[in-house]
Amino acid sequence: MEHDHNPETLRILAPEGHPLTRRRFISLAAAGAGAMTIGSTLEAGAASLSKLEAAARASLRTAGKTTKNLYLYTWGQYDNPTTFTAWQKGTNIPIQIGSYNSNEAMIAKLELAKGTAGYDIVVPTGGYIPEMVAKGLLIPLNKSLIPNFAHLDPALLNFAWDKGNKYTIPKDFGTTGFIYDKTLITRKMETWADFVAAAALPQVSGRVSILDDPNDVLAIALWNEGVDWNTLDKAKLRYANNWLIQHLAPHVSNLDSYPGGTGGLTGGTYVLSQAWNGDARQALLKDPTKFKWVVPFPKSEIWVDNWALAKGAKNVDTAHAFFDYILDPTVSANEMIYTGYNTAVANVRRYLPNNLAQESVIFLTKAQEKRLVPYLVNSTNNLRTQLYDNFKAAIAS
Amino acid sequence: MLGRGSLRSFTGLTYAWFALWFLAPTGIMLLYAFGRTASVNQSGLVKLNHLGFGNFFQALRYPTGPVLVISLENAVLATALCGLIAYPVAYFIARKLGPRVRVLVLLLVVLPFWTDYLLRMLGWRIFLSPLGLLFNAMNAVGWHVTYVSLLDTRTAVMIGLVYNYVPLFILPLAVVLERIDPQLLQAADDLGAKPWTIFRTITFPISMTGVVAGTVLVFVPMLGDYVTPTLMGGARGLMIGSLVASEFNEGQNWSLGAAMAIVLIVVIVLIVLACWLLAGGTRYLLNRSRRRSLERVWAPA
Repeated sequence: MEHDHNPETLRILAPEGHPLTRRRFISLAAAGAGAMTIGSTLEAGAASLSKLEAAARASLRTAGKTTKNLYLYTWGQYDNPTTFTAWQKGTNIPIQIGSYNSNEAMIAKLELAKGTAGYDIVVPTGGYIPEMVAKGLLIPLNKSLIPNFAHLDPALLNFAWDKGNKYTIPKDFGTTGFIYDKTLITRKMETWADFVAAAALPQVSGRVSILDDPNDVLAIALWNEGVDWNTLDKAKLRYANNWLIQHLAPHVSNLDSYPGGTGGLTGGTYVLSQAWNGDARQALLKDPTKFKWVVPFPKSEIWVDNWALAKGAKNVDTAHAFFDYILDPTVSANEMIYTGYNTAVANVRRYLPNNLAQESVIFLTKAQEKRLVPYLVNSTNNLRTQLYDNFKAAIAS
Repeated sequence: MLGRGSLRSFTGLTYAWFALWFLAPTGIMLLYAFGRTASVNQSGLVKLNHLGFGNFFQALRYPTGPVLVISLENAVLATALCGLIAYPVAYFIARKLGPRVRVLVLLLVVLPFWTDYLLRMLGWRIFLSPLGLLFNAMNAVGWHVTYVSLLDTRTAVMIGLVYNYVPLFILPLAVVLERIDPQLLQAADDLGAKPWTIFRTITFPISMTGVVAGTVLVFVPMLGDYVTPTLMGGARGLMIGSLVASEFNEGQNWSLGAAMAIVLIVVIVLIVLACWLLAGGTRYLLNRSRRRSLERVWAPA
């Protein structure tokens, strides 16, 4: 699934057989329904193409021996097309892009190719990094080639999955919460317990979606019970799953990681959805008076997607130049406008052209950040998948 | 003109193609099913140094059973619905239309395949959503209904399955019906058989090959389908394919996923085999009783 990059074809490269792209989804569904949810996207890119090109040229000067190619393997529609256009114009180095829709698929492909997949850059989510390092799928970064690394917010470095950021650079981050139709749900909505209780309301039951991810689903019960969602305690995981089967399963109608982007919320199919903040924002942009977004108590998730160098990369220095470019605050702002997720570049807000709509969903408050916990894939992965299957079977029967 | 040799090499090519793209992957999967998935901090996908049946035991544990039953129910019902819809349509196309119009209508039948399948499914979601076209249109003509959740139910799965697979039933049926020798029907008519009798004793028995072809063509992929149930039925429309997929995806457990896929293949083969035996047996019994009745008619009193 590689595509020669040029600005005209870029828009179609993502959903190659996959309706669901990662954190964001320019929804064909929503567009078809006459709902262009991403109002600010299009005018944003044009703002400062020359500035972006200058940043691209600057990044070449600091990199070592750059080559004339760059291969990127990433989530579909996860970068501003103008970011690539400007890079290409500024450096004369074409970027070729392949896309995937799950960390697992990306890992399997790299693993099977044994370093011959041909990709230079991949974009794993934090929790999968230890696994990729252990499997030897990543190669360490040379930070002396990335002067703009200094722009990164220290709060988003040194996560447990990559101490000292030897292998990865945070790309952007977000959280998991829920969004609901406040015209139908008028009760207090602050905690995960509230989420489960609201799902049982007669006007809500059967119109509830949760993320299609075993860990995020289990987390609802674990957080509610005050258990760390990284727990290795199998009894606690089983208990949590049974609790979900009893209290949540009867009311869930779909496992949908994009209730905002794919139009499930705006089309009225769901009135209560567990969601990632950037995706929830899609629904809020469309109908700000109808929906409300909550980062729930007592705990929730912080996830970080990261730039990394794939084993077998042939254009290592060029990739470093690209990392430097992407960490330039102007470029970072350009990315943020498109993805609707906060990048890890500190003070990126200053570089945004205007105030963004529904900003409070993108920028987390300090109080919110305090209750967010990252997840690392661990040895209970098989059990968690099995429990998830049980949960799914309970919904279906 | 193709010589005999080039024809043979062409046949060889198709076998090679089949071996490369079907047998080889299936063989690899079979091998994986006996292996052991590498742990998250181990390199490699599936370890093949200790082969065993462990994955198959795991593949058969809860919830495979109940989900397989649900999938079977869905596939059987949807196949039956496809047949009921496809037969009159195919009959009409093959017997009531002139050759030119027939080609055009057959083209219309396959026309949906020109659009990406996922787009069509997403289109259905928009159409059936509470604020979507269907309910808006009903409201617009003054037919106010409170929204009943059609999406994310087994009914929605059924709509999706029938919609997607019915062309695959129509095509083989139309071909078989078209090939029935009109002289046979003419002869029956001349001998005074009523249209219904002609249909029951001539057309339908001959078209059985088409019905069987359609049934297999539709039922087999339906049972393993995971995109249609996921997109139309959401969490409530779960079918077995989704469990297999979750082992490959979230579970990163390729050996267990492979074992589940093999179990599914075995189930499908057994079902097709059972149907084939059943059909063969019925035909044998039918022929025998028919022969008997013929013998009774012709036997000198």
